[in-house]
Amino acid sequence: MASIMLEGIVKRFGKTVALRGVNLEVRDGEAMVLLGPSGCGKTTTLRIVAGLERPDEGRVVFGGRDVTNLPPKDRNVAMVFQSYALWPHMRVFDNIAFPLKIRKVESSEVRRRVRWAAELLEIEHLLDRYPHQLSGGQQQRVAVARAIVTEPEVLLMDEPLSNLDAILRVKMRSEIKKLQRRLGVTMVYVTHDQVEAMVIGDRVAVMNYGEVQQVGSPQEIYNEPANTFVATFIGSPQMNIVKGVISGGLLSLLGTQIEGVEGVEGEVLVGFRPERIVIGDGDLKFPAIVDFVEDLGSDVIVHLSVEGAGELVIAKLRGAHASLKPGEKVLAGVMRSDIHIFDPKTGRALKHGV
Amino acid sequence: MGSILYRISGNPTAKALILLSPTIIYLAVFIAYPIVDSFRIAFMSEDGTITLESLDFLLSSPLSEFWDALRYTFLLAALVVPVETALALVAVIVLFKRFRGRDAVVYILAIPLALSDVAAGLIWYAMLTGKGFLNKLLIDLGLIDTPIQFFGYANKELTLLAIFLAEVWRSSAIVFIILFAGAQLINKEVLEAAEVFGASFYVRLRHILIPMLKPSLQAALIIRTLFAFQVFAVVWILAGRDIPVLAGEAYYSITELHRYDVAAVYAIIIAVISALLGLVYIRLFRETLRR
Repeated sequence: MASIMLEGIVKRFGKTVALRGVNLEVRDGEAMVLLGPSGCGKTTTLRIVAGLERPDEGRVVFGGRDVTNLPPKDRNVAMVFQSYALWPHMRVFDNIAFPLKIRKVESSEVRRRVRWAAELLEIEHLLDRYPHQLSGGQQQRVAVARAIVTEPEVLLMDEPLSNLDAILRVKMRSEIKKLQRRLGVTMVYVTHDQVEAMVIGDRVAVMNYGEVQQVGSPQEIYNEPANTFVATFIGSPQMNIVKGVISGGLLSLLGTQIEGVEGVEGEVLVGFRPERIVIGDGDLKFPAIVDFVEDLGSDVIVHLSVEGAGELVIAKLRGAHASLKPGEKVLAGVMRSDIHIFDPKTGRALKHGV
Repeated sequence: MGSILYRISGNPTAKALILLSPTIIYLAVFIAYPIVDSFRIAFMSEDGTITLESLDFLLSSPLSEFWDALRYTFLLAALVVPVETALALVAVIVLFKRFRGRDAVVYILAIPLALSDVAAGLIWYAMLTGKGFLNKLLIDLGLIDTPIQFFGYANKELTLLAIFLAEVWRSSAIVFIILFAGAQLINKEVLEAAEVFGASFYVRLRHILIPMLKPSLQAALIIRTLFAFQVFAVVWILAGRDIPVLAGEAYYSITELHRYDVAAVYAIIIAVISALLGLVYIRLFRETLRR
């Protein structure tokens, strides 16, 4: 097992800069998820860890060993690809055994280890089949078995669940998490699905524009987003961000005011999550008109327009509020602790909770 | 047509026959009839009796070069097909990864595909003849004093080499295009996976890329082997009858000897060899075809 250090990784493809100085530490035995929208550089980062791409600048260090210029075969990594990348001309057994055979493992040991991996992933009965005879979910299990069979120091996963249907995805993501815990392997997992990221990651690195925006536990990222990008990327529906002004500790927003906001002056962006809005309660209350109601059964998403302020606010309320009608006037409220203050120019978070 | 199909939709056999009829008619007119007719031309005399005179001429006339033609045709096929397949495979491997200028290289490699075999023969003749480009170059470089004579009855080995070069050059292109097209269908992640799991370049070729190219390799081999037995124009231009080949002898039998029956026997022999080789290939490849 090994820790991974990425130091100042820069990667260019022609004129486009894919990574502009990525710094990231993955601890030994940790599950690190790289999360971000497409084109944010998460897959490039993973491929640099794998050794499939060389960085233009920066270093990759595995447990104190500089591997920046080593090819994949000298890194003891394994990877699960988005397309699974099973070898179609080999039976499942040979697919899983191939990494061992390359390492010249003795054949009785190969059989023992393939069986071990196949049992872990519950695919013992599929060993004689060819990949095209398997369902997507089964192929996915074979790809994971192949990746763990050598007991790699580092396990890399590139959106491994994105080709599965929703039900299987939910099942597999917890299985992958359990497997990683059980093996204690250092894992880097790439996804654009925030729920998957939260379930699988011990820590999550949110990426955008070729940079790591924030690294933290799912709780940290959700409760203390480092900037407006992370704040709006994490959580669904996304965080409400409205304009406000602070003057002498008085925060004015949405046609109302709240006192005692210390440490920040001038124009700000104010954020609060839809699911933290309550009707008729809260430290900060603002009158609003119901625009539109989306009834999800357990919850209702209510689109509110705030009179006078010209702002739209989304609220996620308990299902009991499904009776709200468009045009209805409500008093919406938020607790002080749920209000985030951001710098309007840089987007950086200035305060979590006022 | 639609209404006929609708009416007989209860009878799958009849429906299949109707749908296949254009193909069946085509095969009957352009394949079956000529084969049957060539047997008639070969083995039926003008009064309608069966005769083996044409076969006798082929095997024992001093004008016939049948055994040499058979030998050279097999020899050329056995030399050209493996070499061009290997060359095309190397080109596909080199061009597997995208790089700047790759498309240009692919187009250049495909050029011989657009040339007729006569043109290809003439290009190589112009290049290799006594006053040709190659000899000029070698003399200018001071490597030789007198030109190398590739052609003429006394230089059979070198003529054979010239035919071999021209044929490889001309027909590597089709093998390359078939293999290159096959390689485009291979998901790059499949090779990257092998790389991540520690496979060297050689192992990736030997155990991943080449096995995955197998269907394309088979298609290219079948097409090229069958065509190799029809080799004609390049040989005719570079060697005339100094190097006899089966198709060339058929042509000679008609144009010079006016023996249509002998030409028909040659045609039948080429067809039989092609059919047998086709069968062998299908036997060999059946396992992968099933998959």
